[in-house]
Formats: sequence, C-alpha cells, structure tokens
Amino acid sequence: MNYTVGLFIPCYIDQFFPEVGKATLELLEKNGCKVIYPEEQTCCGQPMANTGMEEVGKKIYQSMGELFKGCDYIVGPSPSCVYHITKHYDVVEQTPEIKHLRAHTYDLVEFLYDILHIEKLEVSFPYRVGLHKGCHGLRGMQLDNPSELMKDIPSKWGHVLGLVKDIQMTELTRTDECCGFGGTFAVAEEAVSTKMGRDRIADHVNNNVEVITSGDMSCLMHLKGIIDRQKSNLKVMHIANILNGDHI
Amino acid sequence: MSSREHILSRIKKHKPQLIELPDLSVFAHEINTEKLVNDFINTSTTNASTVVNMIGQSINFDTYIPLFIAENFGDNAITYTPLNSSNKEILDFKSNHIDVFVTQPQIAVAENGCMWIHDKQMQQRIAAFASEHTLFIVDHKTIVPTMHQAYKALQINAHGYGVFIAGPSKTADIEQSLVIGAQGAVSNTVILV
Amino acid sequence: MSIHAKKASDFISNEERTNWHDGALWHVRNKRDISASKIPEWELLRSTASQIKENVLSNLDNYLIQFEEEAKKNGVHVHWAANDDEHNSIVSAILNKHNAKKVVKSKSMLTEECGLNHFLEDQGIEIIDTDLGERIIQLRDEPPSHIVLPAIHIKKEEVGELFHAKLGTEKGNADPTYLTRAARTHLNHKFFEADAAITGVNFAIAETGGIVICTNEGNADMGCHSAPVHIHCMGLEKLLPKAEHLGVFIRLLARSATGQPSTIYTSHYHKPESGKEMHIVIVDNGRSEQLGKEDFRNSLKCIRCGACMNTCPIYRRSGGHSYHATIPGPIGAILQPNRNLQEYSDLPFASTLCGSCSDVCPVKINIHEQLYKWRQEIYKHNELPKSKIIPLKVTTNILASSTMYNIMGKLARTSLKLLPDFLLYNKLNTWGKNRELPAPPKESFKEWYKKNKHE
Repeated sequence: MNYTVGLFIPCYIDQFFPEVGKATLELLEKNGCKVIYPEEQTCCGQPMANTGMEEVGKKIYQSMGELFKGCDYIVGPSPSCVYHITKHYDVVEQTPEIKHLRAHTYDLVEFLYDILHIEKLEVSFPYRVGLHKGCHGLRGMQLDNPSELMKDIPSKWGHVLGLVKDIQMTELTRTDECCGFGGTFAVAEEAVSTKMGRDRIADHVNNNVEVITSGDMSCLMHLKGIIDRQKSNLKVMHIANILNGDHI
Repeated sequence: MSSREHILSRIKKHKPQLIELPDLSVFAHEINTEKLVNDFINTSTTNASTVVNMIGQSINFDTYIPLFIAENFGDNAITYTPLNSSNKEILDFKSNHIDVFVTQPQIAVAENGCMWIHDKQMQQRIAAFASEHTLFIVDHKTIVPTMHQAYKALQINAHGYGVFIAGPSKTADIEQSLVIGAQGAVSNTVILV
Repeated sequence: MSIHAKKASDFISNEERTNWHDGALWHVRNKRDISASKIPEWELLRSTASQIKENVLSNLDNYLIQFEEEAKKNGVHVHWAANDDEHNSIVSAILNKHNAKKVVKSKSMLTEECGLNHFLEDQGIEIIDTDLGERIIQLRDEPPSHIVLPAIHIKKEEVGELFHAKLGTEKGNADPTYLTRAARTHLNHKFFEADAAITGVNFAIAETGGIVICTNEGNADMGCHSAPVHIHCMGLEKLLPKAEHLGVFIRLLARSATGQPSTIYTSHYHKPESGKEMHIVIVDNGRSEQLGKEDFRNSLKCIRCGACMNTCPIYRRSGGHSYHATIPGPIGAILQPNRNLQEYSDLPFASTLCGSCSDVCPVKINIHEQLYKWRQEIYKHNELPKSKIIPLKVTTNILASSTMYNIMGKLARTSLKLLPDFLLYNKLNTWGKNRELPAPPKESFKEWYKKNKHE
C-alpha cells in the first residue's frame, strides 16, 4: 500500500488557499503514501477550456502528463480540476503519459475512498456541518448520488465525513443545487452567479449549519465571498482540512 | 429537386451508422389483479376522477347507468353514448349541450389511469371532449400494469382515431394552481365492474 | 455584458419575483423526482428511450419514407417543408384552399420556431392559441418563456388584469379557477367557429403513419374534432419506429415534464373523421444539417418535456425570456447555436455546466457536455468577446511557464488588484460587486513546500 502519489495542487489553491494543500499532503502521508510534489506544475487548463479556449489551454495538458509520469497515482483536492483532466484531456495526443495521467488522477476524497478504503480517522470536528456537493464531483464523477438520478450511488463525501468524531452533518432542503461559481461564469453572469450563491447560503443558514464544507475550494471561495459581504458568522472549510483535523 | 428529395438526401448523407433498436422485453410487470385494481383506483383518483367500485356486484347496465346519471348529474341530464343504438345520428355539438358522455373503454392502465377509447367507442370524436362530463365503465379484467402492456394489447391504428383519457381535463397554467376542467370535460367518473 | 447576462440581471433585480419563479419551477422539478422515484426501472427507461431515438436518427430517411407511405394509405395529406418559410406557405395554402379565416391552434414549439402566427395574421387570418398558457401570452403579445409552461413567468393577478381587459372578466378577480373557466367559455366559442385546426406533434409512428399528441387541457382534440380540416406540423425528428416504442416515451414524457404519470389525453390520429381532411407537414428547418454534426446531433433526441428548464438553476433565476430564443433553457442553449451561432453565442455561456440538465433528461442528451463543446466552437468561429479572449491568452501564457506563474502569483497575493486578471480574467472588479475577495495568504503552497518539505 506504499503508493507513490503525485500531489496535484490546483493553481488557485496554491495561490490563495495553501492550507488546503498542506492538509492534503498531510492526510496522504498519514495514510502511508509517499508524496512527491512536482514544483513546475501550474494549472490544469480548465479556466481556458470552460471559456471555449481549449485550443489555447491545450499546451498545458502535455506538460501535466510529463510532470506526473512516475507516480502511481495523482491526487488533488479538487474534483473539478480532476474531472477536467480525466474527462477533457481527450483532445490532445494520447501519449503514454497522458493516458497514465487520465487513468490515475483522483480527487482526494475519491482516492481515500476508492484506493485507500479509509475506515478510520482520529479527528474531531464538533460543529453542525453542511456539505456542498460541487457539481463536477457530484454529477461528473458521481462521488455521491445526484438527486436527479434514480440510482443508489454511495456518498464518498458522506463516508469520509462520517469517520470524523463529533461532527453533526446537516440535511439541506435542496441537497445538491449548484452554488453558481462556474469559473468565468462567476463574472460573466455576475447577477445569476451571486443570486445562486445567496440562495445556497440561505439553505445552509435555514438549516442551522455552522460550517459549509466541500471538496471544491472554488465553490467555497465564491460562497465565502458572499458570506463575508453579508457579514455572517457562517464559516467555510475545505473537506481536506476537516479530515486532517484542522481547526476553524 | 423537391424539398422532400432535398431533405431525404441530406439525411442520408448526414445520418450516423445504424444503431440497433433496444430490447423492450425487459419491461415485464407483475400481473396481480388485486394490485392492478388498487393501483388503477389510486392513479385515477389522483387524476381527479371519481371511482365507483362495483367489482363483484351484478349490475343491470340498462337500469343502473341511467339511475346513476340521474342521481349524480340531475334528472334532466342529457346523455350521449355509442353504447346503445338510439344515438346514431351525427350530433352538432356546437348547438347541442351534452351533459354526460358514456362509454366503455377497451383497456385501462394501472400506472397512470389511462383508458383507451377509439372511434367506435365514441361515435363522434368530439363527444368525449365537448361533453361536460365523461363516464367510463371499466371492466377490471381489462386493466394492464403499464403502457408497455397497453400498447402490446392494442392496435393503435385499428381505428382512425384512438385516445387514452386519464381523467377530466385540467390545467395549471395560471401560477401552477391546478384547476380541474379546462377545455375538455370538467369531470370524469369511472365505474369499475 | 452578453444579452443573456443583461436580461438575467434585469430579471433578478426584482429578487422577490425571482424567488417566486425559482420556487414555482423547483416545485415542478420536485414533482418530477417523486414521480420518477416510483418507477424502479426509471434509469432503464431513460437509456432505452435514448437508444430508440439514436436508432431513429441513424435510420431517419427510411423511417420518414415509411411514415409517409403509411400516412398516405390512411388518406392523410403529407407535405415536406425544407424551412420555416416553406412550412408557413404550405399551411397557408391549405387554409386558403378551404377558405379558412379562423384557425385554432394547440401548443406547437415548431410553429413558434417558424413564426406561423404572425405570418397568418398578416394575411388576415385569425389564429387563436387554445392552450391556456399560450392564450395568455398571445393576449399579452409575447413569446412563451417555457416550452411546457408557457406562462410560468406571469402572476395570477396579471392574468386577472389581462382577462379583465381582453375577455371582460371581473376587475380584480385573480382566482385561477374563475379565470380558467372564463378562458374555457371564450375558447369554446373559438373551437366551434374554427375553419381549421393546427397542432404540433409529440410522436409520429413510422410503422402506422399516425401521430400522437399529448395534452392535459383537451384543446388539441377540441380543435381537431370541431374543425373540418386539421393540420399537424412536426419536426422531422419526431418519429418513432413502432407503436410499441410509445410505451417507453409516454411513460417518460409527462413524468419528466410535470411529474404526472401521463398527460390526461394521449391522442392517436391515423385517419380523419369521415368528411374531414387531415394534413401532416414534415419540417426540416436546419435539422438535417444538425444531424451531420457529430458532437451535436443527439440534441435531436429531444422530446420537448422541459425538464432541463425546471431543473436548471440559471433558468429558474433568469427567466425564459433571458434566452431571447424560441427554445429557452439548457436545451435551447444547445439547439439555438445550430441555427445561428452569432446570434446565440451567449447561450452556451449561460450555464455553470453543473450537469443537472443531462441527469434529468429522459432521453439522456448530454446537454452540459454539448454546452462545453459549443463554447469551443464559438471560440473557433471568433464569436467570443475580446474581453474574454485577451486576459485568458495572457493567463495561459503565464500558466504555461512555471516561472512566470510563480512571479505573477506572488504579485497577485501581494497586490490583490491583480486577482481579477489572474483568476477571473476581467479588468473591472465584477467579482466584488456582491462578493468579497479572498484574503491573500502570506505565502503560496509552493513557497511553503520549498521551505518546509524540501529535502
């Protein structure tokens, strides 16, 4: 089980939320992984591609393949960026490096659940927590059962959070509505984006949530931006930090 | 080249490789008479039909139906039905108000309350829509579980026109408020026999 | 700002009304969930429906030929229209032949797409939409905002005022039952006065040459059965191979649309009633072109249930009219660019790509993936606004070079003024209009790692 894991830290986490990167690294190491962090990495190219500029962003894709070629797995704390790599790197030449990258890149929680089969966490988080199911992880990667599907897909987020002591998971009225971030959508459709964010926050508030958590820091960055504007006491915390036993 | 030829040739050029039709035999459903009757009563009631369960009771239709109509729609209710021979002339629904249209559907569907009636069971197509009320006499042995079995049992083109009717007409076009009685019949009664 | 963004912003400026609109549609989405959850084989129905439609698209020419042949055997007149103009001319010629001056029409998104109403009105023909929602918007002289719930954006008080002005109902009475009854009386006259009836088509059966129309109000049947001639206008993708395939689609359609197990009326037309005439107009209008686009052809599987609109978190908050298109919402955003890429280049961006639309779609159209693909097409065709391209190109150059990325990142954190450029690709601080920026950390993860983890 001594996997060599390439740590993939998405650009916005590197620049603005280093604590999420640290928690991810520590969690992987605590669980017996040998973690390497290729320092030349920048970004997966999703922001360009989602804006229609895949052609321009593509030049990043091959270098990602090169950077992680020696790793058993590549793990990043962001379903959204992981989804982009596994799903949308189909447009460049499928070299052995790209094939390896696409087949072995995992979101952190997905990796803990699918590969490490994690069943125990020695951490406590005594708060009422609302889970924000980011859309790429939910519907793109099915880390949970999307409310639209009449299936019985296990909740990987729910499983790992369930291992945290003293945590009180809170049911939401709309279990998996999009927060409205959507990359450049957040700015291009500012009115809809912030309205969606306000509605999502209201759902958490109305259900007495103290901390919103999510696998995707991008959703939380957007929600926190609104929460701070509202001067509310609601907190946000990336799921990696909760699983790593970090404090608010 | 005519538009027809143009369209067909463009389709021929653009269509993808043939994809096979899926197997429909996977949609098999349990035939349990009691459950079918219960489901049909539930779906019909949800669709705002009034269901009168007469299963197991021997009824003389010639006396029971007129009496039922008189009791429920008034002594002077005007009835239109292809079931007896008296109404064979073409009726002008524009100038004639019909209170109750009565017929006996060929098939009923448990999952949604649909009842199949065709040209022969309507005599005039407009009758099932322009009459104020509809009254369907449903033989419980004709109830099938789902639309799969219904389409299997029916030949949809056996008559020039056939329709599944699942209740009285309705709309929710004003603020999603459900209103029973839109452009078709304002009420529907099912007598289960 | 794009047209959609502008119209959406206007819609949201009335937040209370936005909440009402969002709530009404969410309620419909909920009813859909409850209804679908009662069918254990729901997902199997979806994949079966998808495969049937894929078969239809892969054999469409033969099915159309078969359909025409069978319909003609039934005594039905079949017409072919290459585009909207030809469709309108065909309908108008049929009406002229019958000297029809008064026409009743039930819901048809196709005739909306072709602009039939205005075309006929210009010729002095009275055309009355008989679906209540459609009649409401027709009296308001505006397009539908939803394909199944055309008047979902209108409040009952507004309907009350409209009916008071146009139909003479009591002033101030906004009771839905009262207003619906008033419309019933009004439309009843129109049905019996009509010289012809026009309908859309939900399904056409190649094997039998018949068509199927689904309504709750009974208006399509009232029209067809009271007028001496009925005309059914259908997009050429409406075909199903055989009658047995209807079982799959009827089970899915209403449950997906409104959560009902079926519509109240599911009408199967094969022959006209004795002494009457029945016409079917098969319309292309760009569909056969769309069939040739591999990434986008499966949008032709659409059965117009509207489920993607009800579930779309953007649609619910921006209103159908913000899409400035005949078909709004997610499905509209992938259909409309096929018709005019320039005019509708904003629509594929009116989405967060959350994917809810694809998951509710009863025929499994990969709507959000097509939105993503349309975005790439729009860039290739130079339809992206410069405000998006330039900052992103700069950003890509930064990201392609690890050194540049590290320098720019440091700058961004020390001076957050750069954040919108780096992260959000916009010089103006649109982000900050209703949101705070994240507080900059003292060092990046990479800097921390170098200090603490480097061996």
